[in-house]
Amino acid sequence: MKPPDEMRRLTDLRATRPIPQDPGPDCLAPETIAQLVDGALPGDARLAATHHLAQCAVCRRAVVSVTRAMAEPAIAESMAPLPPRSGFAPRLKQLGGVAAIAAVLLIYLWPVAPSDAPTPHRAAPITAAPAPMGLWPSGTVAEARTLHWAPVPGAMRYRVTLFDSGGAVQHEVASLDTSIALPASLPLIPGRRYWWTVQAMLGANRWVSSSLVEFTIGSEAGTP
Amino acid sequence: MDETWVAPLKAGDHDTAWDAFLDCHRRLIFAAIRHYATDHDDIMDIFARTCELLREDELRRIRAFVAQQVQRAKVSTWLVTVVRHITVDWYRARDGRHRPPAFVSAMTPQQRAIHQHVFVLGHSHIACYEALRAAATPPMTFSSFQVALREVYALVAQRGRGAHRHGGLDAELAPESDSGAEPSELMERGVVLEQALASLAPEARLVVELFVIEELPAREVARIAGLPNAKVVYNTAYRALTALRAWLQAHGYSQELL
Repeated sequence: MKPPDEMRRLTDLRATRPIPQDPGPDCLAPETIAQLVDGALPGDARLAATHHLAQCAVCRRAVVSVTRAMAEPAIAESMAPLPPRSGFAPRLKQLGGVAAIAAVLLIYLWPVAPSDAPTPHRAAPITAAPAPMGLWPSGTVAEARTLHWAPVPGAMRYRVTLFDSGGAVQHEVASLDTSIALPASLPLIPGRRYWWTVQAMLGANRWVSSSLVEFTIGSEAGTP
Repeated sequence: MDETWVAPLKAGDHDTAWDAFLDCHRRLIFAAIRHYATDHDDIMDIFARTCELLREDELRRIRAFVAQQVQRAKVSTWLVTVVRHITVDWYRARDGRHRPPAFVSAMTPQQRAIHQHVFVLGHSHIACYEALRAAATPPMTFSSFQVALREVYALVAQRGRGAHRHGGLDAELAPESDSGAEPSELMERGVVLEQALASLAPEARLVVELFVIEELPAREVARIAGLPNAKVVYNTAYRALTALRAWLQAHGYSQELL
């Protein structure tokens, strides 16, 4: 249901109004604005809030903005639950109880040869996600103006670091994509070895790093 | 509320609660920031700031939300609202609160003076002309003032176009008119219509603001305003239109303004 056409000229007010300024002391808290948008504000509180909203351009702007944001497909999609991760645990669940029991028995009954080998000092690191993998350049390449790596599911951003043969950082940059272009101001010297690594950000202060990838500018290989 | 982060939050295990909260809502936080910002570095900085503010004082904001005794909003709506607030504050902190808008900075000194008199101080055109004429050497003619005034109106009406630095946030702060009307006509009509709107009862005013001016769907307006359904919104808007026409007539304005 849209506004009648005879009201259309009122929409021009949006272009002539001053830009709303800072909220005042009486302005609505974010919690109240969210409740209004959801229609979750009870009786008297809603009446007071809507009366304020009728007069206050700052709060009205916030309510309109959040209402529009909540209707945006990208935001609606981001609220949907993630598909279950493919991994050992879900697959084990799929096997069912009988298979799980069989697996446990197998572990206990399997003959183990005595060994003098020392137990490892530490267990292998546990990682919840695969590490990124540097794809190109690697080995000897004719030119390397771009760096490419394989994407990591769920990565929010990547951080790429390029080192020279002495281990000094030559370039460091963040990217949302799975490739970066090296700046023209960074000369890569033929015959010299370089290393690069890429880190994937999986959460606040949660990074997974690739192994170092070595490359040399030579004349043998081409472009990605 | 059956979210995984609520139990550790209530148990006082704030680190576990935060990790679980971020796991649940990281995508939503990013989607909300991207709704308001387009620059990659801005997005990452706003994300960091959002995390910092949500985590501070042992998740004070999140605890306050969970502790609300009356009906709560959905977590997603609350979080988008909080992210919007943080984003607005972040841009204001970075760009300055009281810096004149870019379109004003780009004006000539004479245009800026007219803008200051008419749009900031609210002086009439005649008062503005008198002030400028007294200050100018040689004195400004009225015809040249009219030309400059028309230019300022045009710039004000076009503010923000082509300068959407902040993506959605800029777009919402600098709406445009698509009616094709002359800027000076828009401004003059706007002054009268604002007075007419101020005469409406709060509920009618809110419906006109949200449904007609902001063009939100009627069912959304009904939910916000606490009206039973979209039909009531439509009827309220119609009655408000009648009241606005009556106000215009009573105050000697043409009803053609609407």
